Amino acid sequence: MRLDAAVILTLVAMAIAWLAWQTREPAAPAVERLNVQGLMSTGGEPFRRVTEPVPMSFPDDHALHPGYQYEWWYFTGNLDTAAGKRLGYQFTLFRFASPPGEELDSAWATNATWMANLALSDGRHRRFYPAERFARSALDLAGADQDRWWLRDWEVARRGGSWHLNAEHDDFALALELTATRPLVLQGDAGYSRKGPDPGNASRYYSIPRLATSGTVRIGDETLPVEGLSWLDREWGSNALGEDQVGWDWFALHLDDGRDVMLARIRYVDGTTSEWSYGQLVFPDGSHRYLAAEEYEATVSRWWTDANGSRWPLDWDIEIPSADLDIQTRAVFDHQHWQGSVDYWEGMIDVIDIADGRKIGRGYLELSGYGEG
Amino acid sequence: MRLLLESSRRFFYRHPGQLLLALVGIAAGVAVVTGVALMRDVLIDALDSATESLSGTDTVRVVDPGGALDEEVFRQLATTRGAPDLVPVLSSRLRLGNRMLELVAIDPLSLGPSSIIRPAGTATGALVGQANAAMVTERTLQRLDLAPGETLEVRHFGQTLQLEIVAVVQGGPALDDRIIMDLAAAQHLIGRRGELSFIEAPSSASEWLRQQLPENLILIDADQRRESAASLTAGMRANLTAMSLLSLAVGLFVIYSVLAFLLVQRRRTIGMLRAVGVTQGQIQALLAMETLVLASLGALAGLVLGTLLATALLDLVRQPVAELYRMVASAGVRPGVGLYASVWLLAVVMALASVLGVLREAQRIPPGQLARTVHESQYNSAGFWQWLPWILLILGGAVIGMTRSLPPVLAGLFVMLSGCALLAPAGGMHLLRQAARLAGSGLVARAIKMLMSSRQRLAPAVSALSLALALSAGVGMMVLGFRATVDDWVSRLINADTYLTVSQGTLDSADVETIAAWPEVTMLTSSRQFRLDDGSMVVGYDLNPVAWSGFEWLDGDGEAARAAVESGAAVLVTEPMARRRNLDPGDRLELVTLTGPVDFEVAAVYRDYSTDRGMVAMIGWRYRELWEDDRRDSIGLYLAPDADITALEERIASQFETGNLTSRESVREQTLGVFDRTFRISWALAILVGLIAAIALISALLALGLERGREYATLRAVGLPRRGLAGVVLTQTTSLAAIAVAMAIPFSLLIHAVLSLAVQPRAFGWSIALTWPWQPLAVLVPLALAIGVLAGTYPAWKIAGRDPAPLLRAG
Amino acid sequence: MAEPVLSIQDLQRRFGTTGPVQVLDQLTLSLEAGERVAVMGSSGSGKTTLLHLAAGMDTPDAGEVCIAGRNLSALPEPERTRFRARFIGLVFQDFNLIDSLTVRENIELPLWLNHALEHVDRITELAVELGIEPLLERLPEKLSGGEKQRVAIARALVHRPALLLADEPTGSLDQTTAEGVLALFDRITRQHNVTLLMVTHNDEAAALCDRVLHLRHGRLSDH
Repeated sequence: MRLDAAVILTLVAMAIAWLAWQTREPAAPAVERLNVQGLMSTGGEPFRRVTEPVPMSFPDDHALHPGYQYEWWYFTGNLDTAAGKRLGYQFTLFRFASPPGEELDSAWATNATWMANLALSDGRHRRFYPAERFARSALDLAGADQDRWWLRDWEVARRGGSWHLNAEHDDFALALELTATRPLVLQGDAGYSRKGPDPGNASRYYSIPRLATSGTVRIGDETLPVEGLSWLDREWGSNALGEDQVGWDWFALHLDDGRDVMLARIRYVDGTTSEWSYGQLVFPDGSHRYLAAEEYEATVSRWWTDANGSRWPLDWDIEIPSADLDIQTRAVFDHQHWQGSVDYWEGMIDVIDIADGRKIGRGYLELSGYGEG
Repeated sequence: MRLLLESSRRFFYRHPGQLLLALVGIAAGVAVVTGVALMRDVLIDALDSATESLSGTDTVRVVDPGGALDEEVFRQLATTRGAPDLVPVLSSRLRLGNRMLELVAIDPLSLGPSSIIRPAGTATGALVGQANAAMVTERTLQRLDLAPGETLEVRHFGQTLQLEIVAVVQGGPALDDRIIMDLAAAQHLIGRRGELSFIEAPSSASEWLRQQLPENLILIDADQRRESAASLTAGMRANLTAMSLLSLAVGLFVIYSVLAFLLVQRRRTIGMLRAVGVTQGQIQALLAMETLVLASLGALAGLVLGTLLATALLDLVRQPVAELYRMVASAGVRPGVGLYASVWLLAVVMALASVLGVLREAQRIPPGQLARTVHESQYNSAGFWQWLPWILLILGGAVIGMTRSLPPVLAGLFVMLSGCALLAPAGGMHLLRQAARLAGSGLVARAIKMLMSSRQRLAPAVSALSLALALSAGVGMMVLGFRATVDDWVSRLINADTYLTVSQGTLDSADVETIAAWPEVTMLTSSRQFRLDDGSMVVGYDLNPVAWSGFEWLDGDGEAARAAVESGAAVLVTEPMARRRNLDPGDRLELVTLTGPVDFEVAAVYRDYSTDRGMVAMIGWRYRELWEDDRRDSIGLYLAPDADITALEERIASQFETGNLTSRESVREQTLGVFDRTFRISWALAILVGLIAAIALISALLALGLERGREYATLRAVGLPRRGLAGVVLTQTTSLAAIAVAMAIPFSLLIHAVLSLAVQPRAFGWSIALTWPWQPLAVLVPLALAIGVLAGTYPAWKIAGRDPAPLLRAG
Repeated sequence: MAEPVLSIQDLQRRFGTTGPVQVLDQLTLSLEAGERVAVMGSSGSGKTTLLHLAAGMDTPDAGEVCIAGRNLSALPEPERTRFRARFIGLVFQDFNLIDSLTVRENIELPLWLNHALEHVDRITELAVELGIEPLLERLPEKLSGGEKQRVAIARALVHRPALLLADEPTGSLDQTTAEGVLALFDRITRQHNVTLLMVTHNDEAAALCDRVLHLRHGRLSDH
């Protein structure tokens, strides 16, 4: 090519490139993740600590507990449609208290931030629908009392003996009635759930392990009647995790024989199981037994790598000799991965008897501390 | 075709000046069009889009037409089943020195997950809970010369706020000069507990919102917001548009004159090419290709220059928009591919259209005509063509006279200018003839005669030049005339000796009584303004007879009007108000007051330039009754002849902690200051057009010198001394400049008159008393003549300095 | 003996800086009043250069050109131009009329330059003699080649120059026209007793002259 043509073309290309650069859209800011583990391991002075068992009373303790750094209301459940297809759901309210700021002459002044996570796992199409919302603890935009837990128009209300869960998002919605079929279980030592070396590395923790669930689920324009079992976890505290604890693997299993199993495996930075891990075995009659860390062993049998390259242990082999259980848990499908403000995996799983390969139950698995955030 | 292209490439190599002029001509025109288009868009798009850039682009807005929105509405809506993501916003204006900033207070936790401010992000964490925490974009940070963590001191209605920049948000230009705060902190800081300005919601939720909204609230969609921003700044944008189109026209004249001249220069070459068998079609294709390449490259450069121009001049537009319309526009232009593409295409197509004549002329070159001269086809001075310029002038004038809206007036102006462009060469030649006659038989006369012989060649240059000069001068005259009118108006209106305002707290009736009792004060006036929903104002006046004499009545009987207004039954309206609402004295006007709609008689129309949205003036007591508002914005003090100013100032200081006295003179200065800032952009554009004129002039003059090289050599050969030849060249360039200027003078008066009498009233609603400021002409006429002399000096020096032999040989 | 009208001594002219071409080399020539000399030579032999030097439109590298006893080479430029305007008439091969002036204005130029506008009647006289009187108010571009050359001849003679320099005056004309123009040229130069130096390679044109010289290798010779 001639030199002059080359020079002109270069100038033209530069001009066009410059103009194109002028028309660029501003880049989207990087995703910022909320570090829940961080929030749970850094307390600070202003918050109350959980240091020993304290008697709980209900329904008072359904309401929020001011003064603690975090608190959550956590529903998970496996559902069946009338056609026998699998659905799973999660509805969680988190409350994170903020250190007291300046006194502001405004109704929007707030001492806590609420986050709601709503998710639906559609086993038919292996699709995962997550939705996330925030609100400040002001103008009654979010809150929890004995009878009602809500964030904006998503709410759980207690009427009679049942909880009514209503939450709508653009492409899916839940309208469920949940009725406890066995009594509430105080986890740990009468609800004092110790998680670390310091007596203050603890939370207040109770569950309703088995809630008969019925209602409707909307996916897109399709409204499906559903039935199934749900699990409610309630927990609050400050600075609950020890400094070198990075996350947990939490199993909530409904076994066909009527037993419910909860396992909370707390992990250190190096991936090893903390001696502060724990569990609970609940019997059909409502009686229950604490499982210490050494009473069970859980080993990963399958890892899944997400789009960001983070690895998640989705399938596990679990041995609980004292309950005569040698089982495998398997994710119903892989992509039940939350990538909102918190990066975690929460999804429905199957429980399989290793001895004969039979399905002997269902449950929910929560994996935290594996992702980027 | 490759050989032909090669030949034209070599030609441009040998004549880089021609190439450059063609490129500069088109680039300058395109630059002004691009720059103005970008600035216009900023005025419409960016005015109200700050919150959109936080909450998503396709939104609707819940507002309370009565004023601030109760935050309880937000709570109600947000907790109702099926609620969409709603963003509560409180906005207000802040002042930083001369600069207007917008406070945008939001609840970051209500933002959707895709917002540029993450509800769970660190910025949110830094913002919430701290009384003076604020956030700005990186660009704003640079513009304000701040670093993160520094404190920004701003004024909010007379109160000083200290804001700490706790985070930097990654936002586009829509967030320029925006201070983002948490709602709680903002309500606390500016004392507006319980209030929101509006709620932003996705437009998909419109139906749901309509069902939920209380009666008194309304929903405004993006188009409506855009429209209202657009209508606010319509006058300003119309002015800009007119200027930019005129600049483009001038730029096209430049490219036409350059291309026409290039053809002349290559006539011999083309004749030979035709002789060896190149077809007419190929010659035309070659010329079209050249135009296409030149226009494409020039337009591309123009886009770049225009973007830079808009960036550089944007503040000239933003400042008055902030002052006059209380709107903070973004500080950066937001060019789109569409805009670039359409301006580029427009320029290329118009350049091709403008050289159609040249292409036709190329067709007429017979093969083998080796003479260097151009056949000057006989100027057909009979019939239609002779009358066309006058027809255009009359047609344009008729359009302007008959219509009440702005676009046809601009079209009419354009038609009139086309008439001028056609008239300019003929008029110029006429002037030259007269000049040659007066000059007798000397060198000057001969030089002018030689110049006249190529009038067709010079025509585009004379048109371009005189139009550009006229445009520059006309706009300058309009602005100066307008300024004189405003000065006259404000000097009449402001007739108290000094005005009292307070920067914090309010003045009320009790204060008026207190001041009236002071011995230094003989009389008082006071006023209170209230802004209506459509942006127009109601003002309650308490006036004395002297103040009444400050009104200049445009329609209606002043004395009778005063009686009617003082009775409380009638109001006065400003000229923009009368024009907007089509009001005449005797008409009825309904105003929505705090106590319900009230019907008034319009007593008279008076001159006013304070707001182009229009203003209604009524007697003070009636205003206070209807709006239940006892406050005064300012009190005018008429002082006793022997008043002790120091004593007065002491009284003010002791009575009003933040009281401020402003003299009549400084009120006038402030008003004219705002005026001058408003029209700085017009000056800038006038100067740009003037520059294009200079380019056109230089291009025409250099072309003249090049074209006549051989003639000049012959003159030298037959014995014309160097100095004589220099005289010929200088006479020719100077007379070319002179006729362009001479033709520009009447054109500029015409442009001034149309802008003042037709464009201003339709754009802003007010008329301007037509005066004839001479200053722009006093600058431009000598300047153009000087350029004429200077542009002649170089070729004169160059041609005269050489021995004639080589030039003759080169023939 | 009277002083020669044109006297050229040892004229040298080179062109180009690298490997310069010696166009004229020690050229010497002298013309008496009323004498008519033709210089012939092939293309590129330096004929036009000689003529430009004789007219003072070009400056020699060495040697001198004297016209009517004045050394042209020694004159500063403005005086040389004034001298040319006064004493020299020029006829070019391609006419070099000023297109933007009428025929009359073209012929008038030398009178104006010599402040001799009182002699405008000569324009008509010459025009009649040359048969171009009807063309006086026309612009040159409308004229034929022969007409143009006649206008050029009128322009060259109107101020009664001491020396007429002609550069291939019929070079751009067809045969018939050339003959007409030559006849006219012959008649009018005789009539006005013009001293003529004509460069040409046309034998017929050369035949008009009293003396024919040949330019070869930068020098003149009689054959």
